[in-house]
Amino acid sequence: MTAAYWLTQLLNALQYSMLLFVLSVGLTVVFGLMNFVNLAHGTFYALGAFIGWSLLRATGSFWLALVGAPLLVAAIAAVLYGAMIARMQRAGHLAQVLATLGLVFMGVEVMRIIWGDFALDFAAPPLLQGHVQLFGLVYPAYRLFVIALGLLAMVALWLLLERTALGAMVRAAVDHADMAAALGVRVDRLFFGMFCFGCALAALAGVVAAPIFSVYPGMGIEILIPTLIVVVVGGLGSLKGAVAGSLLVGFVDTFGQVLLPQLAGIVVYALLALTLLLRPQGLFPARA
Amino acid sequence: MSLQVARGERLAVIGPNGAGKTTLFNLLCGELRPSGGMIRIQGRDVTREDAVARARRGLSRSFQQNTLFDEVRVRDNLALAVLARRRRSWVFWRDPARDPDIAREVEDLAHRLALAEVLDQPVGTLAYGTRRQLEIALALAREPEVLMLDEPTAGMSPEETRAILALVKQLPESMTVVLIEHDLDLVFEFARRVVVLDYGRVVFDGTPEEARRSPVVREIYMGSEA
Amino acid sequence: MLRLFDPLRTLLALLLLLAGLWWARTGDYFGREILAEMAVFAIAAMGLDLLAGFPRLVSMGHGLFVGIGAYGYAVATALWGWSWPAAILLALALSALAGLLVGLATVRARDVFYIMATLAFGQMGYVWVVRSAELGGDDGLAGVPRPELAALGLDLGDSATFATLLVLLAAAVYLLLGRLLASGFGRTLVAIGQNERRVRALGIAPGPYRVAATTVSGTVAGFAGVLAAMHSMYVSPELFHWTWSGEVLTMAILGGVGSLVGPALGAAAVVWLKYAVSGWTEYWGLFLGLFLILAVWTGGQGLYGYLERLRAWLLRTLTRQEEADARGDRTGQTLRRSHRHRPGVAAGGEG
Repeated sequence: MTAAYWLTQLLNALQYSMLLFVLSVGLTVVFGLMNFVNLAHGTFYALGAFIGWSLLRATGSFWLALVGAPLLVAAIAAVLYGAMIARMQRAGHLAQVLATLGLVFMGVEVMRIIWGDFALDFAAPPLLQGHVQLFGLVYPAYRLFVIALGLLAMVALWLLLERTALGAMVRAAVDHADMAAALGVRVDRLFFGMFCFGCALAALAGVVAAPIFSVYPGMGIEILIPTLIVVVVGGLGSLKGAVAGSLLVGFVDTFGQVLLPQLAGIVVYALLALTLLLRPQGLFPARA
Repeated sequence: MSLQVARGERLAVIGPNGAGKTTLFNLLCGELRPSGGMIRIQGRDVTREDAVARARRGLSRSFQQNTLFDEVRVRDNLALAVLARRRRSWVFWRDPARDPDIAREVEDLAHRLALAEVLDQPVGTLAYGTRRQLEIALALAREPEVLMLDEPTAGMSPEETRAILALVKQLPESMTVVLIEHDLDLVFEFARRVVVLDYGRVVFDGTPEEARRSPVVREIYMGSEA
Repeated sequence: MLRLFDPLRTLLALLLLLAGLWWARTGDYFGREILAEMAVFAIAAMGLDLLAGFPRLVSMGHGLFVGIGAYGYAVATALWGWSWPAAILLALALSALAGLLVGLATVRARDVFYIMATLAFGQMGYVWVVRSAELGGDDGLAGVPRPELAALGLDLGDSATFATLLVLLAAAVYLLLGRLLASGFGRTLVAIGQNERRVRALGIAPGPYRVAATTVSGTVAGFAGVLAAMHSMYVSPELFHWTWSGEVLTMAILGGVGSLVGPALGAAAVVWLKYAVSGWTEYWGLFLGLFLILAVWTGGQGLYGYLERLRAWLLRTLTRQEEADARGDRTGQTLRRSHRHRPGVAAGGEG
């Protein structure tokens, strides 16, 4: 166990955390803003990966896929919002959970119909295919790119939410939707925009994850669980919670597998149980 | 603020909207944790106890907004309260609500609060005033040492209000009753002591007679009423 | 709780039982296999109803208990060579323990947190089993025996006998849960589901009741798992997967939670639809998702809710018929009365 080994693990944990962050932030903002629970969030992640795969095959450009897939998924989310989500908003959490669970079941089948049952390979762009020498250790360039992208998203979202007029509106609507509406904020438009934005972020995560995990219909279902753990641990509805939750889950999961291989994958559930018992609202809930 | 309530007291807490009356109740009943200070029941510090523990110490309350089991019958509502007091709800294989002594107690309670006619109706189908009566019945079912009623007559008709007043007056002398109320006639008829809250502070504490004459009360309470 | 004492519920349960027994006698081999599957799912869905329908704790992780029950039985019999009664006891004890632990871990979780937490815990077993070589990993375990009941003159290898047994066991679970819900404990569970704040104000701590309900519910789901393992004589990690939990939840919602019989009806309906659809498409999830969305959109009362509405409509129509008959007998009287009332109505209209 050399220093390089631990550094590699550290970077792996960081890379997983960043992926979880980009996924969970959409889920948590939509909940904080609209009080809406979207179990189909993972489905948008998978959809992003598949659409990205098709774009990559059609155009040969990873970067086009990286930008195009989130946009297309946002368009799909917009249609879904009009058809279903908008009228589920006041239906209560249970109805939302069940209806979006229905979407999960349907989404998997739609992807099977369009793209088939088998895992699809997704090549990283040529620019990022090699390895990088870093403090005497060799690390895949693509994974460094994922870390950089996640950090970028973190900073951008923080600036967006804390430093812009739009962010002020979002924060106002999270705390007091009625008051914000009375002050002239078009809350319904804000909801619509944030829902599509959240889904686009999930799709972005899907494209980014594709070269690492490959692309298959069940990928959305698989990623949903760690994403939910992030949200529960971090606290629903806050950016801070998404950051803290994804770092905790990413590091606990990665180092749990390294240090306690016989309990592989279980350690993160202990983290979940502990949080639920000690801080049932999560570490940084949006509303105290 | 500091407030002492003696055993058997008939205390009314009044004050304008937003004075902190319900917050005071929630602090006393353990639904809210105070950021400082101490709450004692019978000399015992209960500041850190939750609502369940305080209910078991003999503190019972009604809520400003009906807090009932809406989808079951009145009988089931009352039975649960009686079972809770007698610590008989932890029974897995029989229905203790069918025991004659518990069934009788449920019927008695229903008679006292004019609920006998509707015992077998689902709560959700009842008129507002009737549900308000059940709200008080549930608080009484625990046979509390301290009964706290949060605007028990809110939204009730004058006759219903009289009925509630008559009931409260019949309560045993040993029971401490604390009441939040907007109906001043009712307050002056029921209370032996009146506390006026404003902005979370006690601005008056005395007998109803004194309250009637007090310029502070007149200004803060009647002034805002007018 | 009102639904619990409703004769409609008993009637429907009896009808389902009789239909099941009749089908087990007269159906073909394939039909009996479907019937056995229905019974397994019905037991799991009724166990889930104990949580979702009464204290309103919507668990999305029941696959964990089903999987533990199934693997507990499979490992004890196929790998360790235990006798079947010992294996069943072990499986039930393990799923009860899992229910207890999940109940304890989620005792403070509310609303969405409870749903998300149970969903996550449900997946824990899957992650573990898939990676465990001793448990067969992805391939699962084969060679799980059915109980040997030759001493009683029963051959569980015979599909009719096995299906009959499962239907009877489902009926037993139904009676057991009904009895449990009609107790002081059950009353408290119902109260927790309707108004937890009042429950606390009455001096009842909801926590222990929630944990106990999760333990019982987990044990019942574990029992369904044992029966699933006996039925297919094979166990796979799919039993643990959260889509399994989602499927059971769909059955319960589609049938109508809070009635016990509704989820059983939902299980029968969904399993039947699954096989009906499988004839012409392999994309069953498309339909399952659609049913779930429709069940939610139509008010979430489920099939049992429709039966209740149908009965209410029938009652209304019948009483109206009676009133009409009564009016027919005394036409003159009615006319006179309505005439007398007319001025009053007019005055009221003006005022």
